[in-house]
Amino acid sequence: MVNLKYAMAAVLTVNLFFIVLSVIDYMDMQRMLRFTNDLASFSTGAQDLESAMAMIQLEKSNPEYCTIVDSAYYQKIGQTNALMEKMLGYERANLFTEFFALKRQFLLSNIQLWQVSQMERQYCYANHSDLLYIYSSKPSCSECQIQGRMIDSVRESCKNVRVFVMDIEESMTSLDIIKMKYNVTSAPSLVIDGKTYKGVMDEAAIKKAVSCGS
Amino acid sequence: MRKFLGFISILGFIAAILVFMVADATIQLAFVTAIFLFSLFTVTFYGLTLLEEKRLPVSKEFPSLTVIVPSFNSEKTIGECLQHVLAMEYPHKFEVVLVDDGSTDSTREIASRYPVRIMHRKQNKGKAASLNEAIMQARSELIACVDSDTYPPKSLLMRSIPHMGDPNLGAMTFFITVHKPRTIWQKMQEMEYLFSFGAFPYLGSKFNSILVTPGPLTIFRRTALVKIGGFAEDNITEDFEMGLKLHRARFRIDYLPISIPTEVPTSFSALMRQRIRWYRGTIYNVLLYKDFMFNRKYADVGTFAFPIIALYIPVTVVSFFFVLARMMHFLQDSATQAFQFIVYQQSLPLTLDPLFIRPDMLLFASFLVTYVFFLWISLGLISEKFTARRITGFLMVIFVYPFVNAGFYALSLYKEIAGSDLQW
Repeated sequence: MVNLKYAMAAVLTVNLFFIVLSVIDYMDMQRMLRFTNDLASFSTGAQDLESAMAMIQLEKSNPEYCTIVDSAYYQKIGQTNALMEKMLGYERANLFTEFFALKRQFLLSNIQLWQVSQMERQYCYANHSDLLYIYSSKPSCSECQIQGRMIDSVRESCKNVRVFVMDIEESMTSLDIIKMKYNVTSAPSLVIDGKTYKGVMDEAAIKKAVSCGS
Repeated sequence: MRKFLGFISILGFIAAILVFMVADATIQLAFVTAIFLFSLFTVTFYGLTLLEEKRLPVSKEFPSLTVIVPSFNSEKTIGECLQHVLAMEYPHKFEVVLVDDGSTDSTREIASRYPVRIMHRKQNKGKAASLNEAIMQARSELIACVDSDTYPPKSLLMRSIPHMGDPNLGAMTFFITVHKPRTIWQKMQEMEYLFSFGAFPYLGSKFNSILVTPGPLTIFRRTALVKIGGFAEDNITEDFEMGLKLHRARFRIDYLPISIPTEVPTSFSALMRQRIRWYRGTIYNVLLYKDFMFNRKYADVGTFAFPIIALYIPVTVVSFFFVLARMMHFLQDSATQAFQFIVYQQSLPLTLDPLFIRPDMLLFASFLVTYVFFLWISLGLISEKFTARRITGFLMVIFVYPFVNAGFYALSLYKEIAGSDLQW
């Protein structure tokens, strides 16, 4: 009789434990699912713009094409930030499933968009500034979160700024080349229109660097 | 040698914190899972006993009774205590013995105003010795040991003695509650007592696994006390030792949910002194009675209740270091964020996305649910309700108590290893 009681408690414990695990796992999956959906449309958008840019290069800057690319861009820019925030939050909250692959996909699409944006300035008439924000995914980098908030408020007040993000901890061929080219060694760093700024930059300084009127 | 051991234990404590500080997510997850499983098993086991029905035997006999009140410098409470003791209803006359353990205040003058027999001892020899002396002289069948700061209700004897007919029953324990809590520490203890003297012994009594015969008030069978040789005079928590000793002599300990208000420490330092005495006593007695560990001879005490208490000590201490390490991380983060807020005027946003909830919050929630469940059972036992005045205590017990209590355990463990003097 004694043993039955212990067995029952053990079985119940294991069951309850698995229920808790399943809830955690379910939430992990939900996060992945949501992020995957958002990321898919974001990546498609980036690829779409990249091929559009290739066409512009061939046609030697047709101003009509440029307008199309430009308007497409403004629809994308808002997404970068929302996705970034989601990714950081979900990554921290996830316990069992990792965001590695999705995160790399997201960062790569960001770089694609950034390059397209730079090419646009070269081939089309453009009055926008490109801001590449290099952050660190290490939790010890609390300046990165603060810098992120500042960039967010700059983006809201200056319509001519395009924000892209890059994780300094991530090692990918294209990211490594960018790090080398712009001499980025620490986070947070900003690359604004090809010029590198190290350390936290306050709002006024960023606005000045991107020549934001208001 | 002792000093060396104390030094080693401090090094061990620091090492434990450092290990948790640098521990990666996997180690943390493994640790939390282990603690969670341990608690979950304990709670499920107790929870399952809720389904068991148990009726106490009822007899019509009211055997002879002696009430022993050991006291030492308790002029503030002794009057009220004796009033309550003498007001207790009982068919026969019962003797009340006050053992004055060499008090230096007016305890004896106050006590002499009441119709009680006063045993005076010139030297202060401790509670256990006082009780033993009175027990030796008593000739009654039952002996109630009442602390001088405890106020038993009128109906206590009429409600409890009829259930004490079984000669195998060594002791009857009760629901100790906090008398008129005023300070926040008392309010915290009020909620803690509900839990540790309510639901837990109530459920424990269903499989005869009450290990402690609470000092404030317990009714013993005199033959049982004589057989096991009374209270241990060199033990700082003689009530825990008494419980174990009764189990060893194969006596049963039962429980009745009758509320017994007692005075509790008012300040943090007094609470700390009391708890360090309790927990050092627990560690000392667990080591003294280690043959109970997983011993099937003692049924559920040996296979469940004793191992849980024994494991609870290291688990609490290690969890304390874990939480301490997490807290240090948290403080570090908060400090940098505060710094950045001051320097850059930027703060982090609050997000309302439900998927941002982290899994450790889920664990916290499950502990909270368990606590509330047992609290609800405890309140039901003495048919009380969760009123607004309990909210402070409730919040304290959720957010402050686990940390403070674990700290007391760590300190007790250190003192027990380093071997500083035991004090009452």
